[in-house]
Amino acid sequence: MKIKETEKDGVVILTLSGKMMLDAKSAGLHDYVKNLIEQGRTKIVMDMGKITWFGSTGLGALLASYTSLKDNDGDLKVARATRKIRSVFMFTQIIKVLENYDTVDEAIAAIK
Amino acid sequence: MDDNKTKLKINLNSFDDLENVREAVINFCRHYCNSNDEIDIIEMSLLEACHNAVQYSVKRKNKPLCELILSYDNQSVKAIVRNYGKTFIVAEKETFSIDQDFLQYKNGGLGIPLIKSLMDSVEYSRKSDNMNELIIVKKLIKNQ
Repeated sequence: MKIKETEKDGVVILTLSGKMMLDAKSAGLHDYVKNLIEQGRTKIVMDMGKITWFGSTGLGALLASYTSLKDNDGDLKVARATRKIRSVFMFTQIIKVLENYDTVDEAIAAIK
Repeated sequence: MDDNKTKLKINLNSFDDLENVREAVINFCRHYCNSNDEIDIIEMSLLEACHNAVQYSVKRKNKPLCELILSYDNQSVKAIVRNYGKTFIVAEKETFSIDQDFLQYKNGGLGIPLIKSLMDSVEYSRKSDNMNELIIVKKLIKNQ
């Protein structure tokens, strides 16, 4: 999995691409977010439109990131989650805590 | 939809074979599932199970690292995942819940809880010769 970082209106946008399941980079997403928190950047949108595979390692890192951000008065929104990711969010009820938006701009507007 | 038993068997010898599993599971489920959501969660659950089975398998001569047998019967998709090696820890793992502390999953460990929450039953048994067998069942929603 690759992580590309940009920023807009004070919100960090992490564009994730590739396989978010089996590699160390997926698990490393939480460390990446913790580093942002240490810099005081606690509003994050994760653009998941380019994720090709999604598994428990990536999901675990995503949920741990959400918790760490909430613990630091921050927030995490998901944008452009693929149909498969949305299915998992729905069946596990993750959708109740981690909101998905159709576009990155919508997610930014919601988190500001 | 017919209720005749159908079976599909796939052998995995490396992580690269997961792509074949994905395609095979999707094609198999398309015949029986009534929604893309059902296909998605079965695919994800079986990829998780097969990945773990390959990762922790001990190679045996003339045996694949992991064997996946898919069948459909009586409105359910049933998957049997087999490998050789250490015992799976399945029974002690809780079903995933949004009320759990998510930080416990920061470095992994979500695979079995996730499968348990997505599928209808997950049963583990230890067979002779250090063979592990995981039986995962998803009851399909009937067409209205």
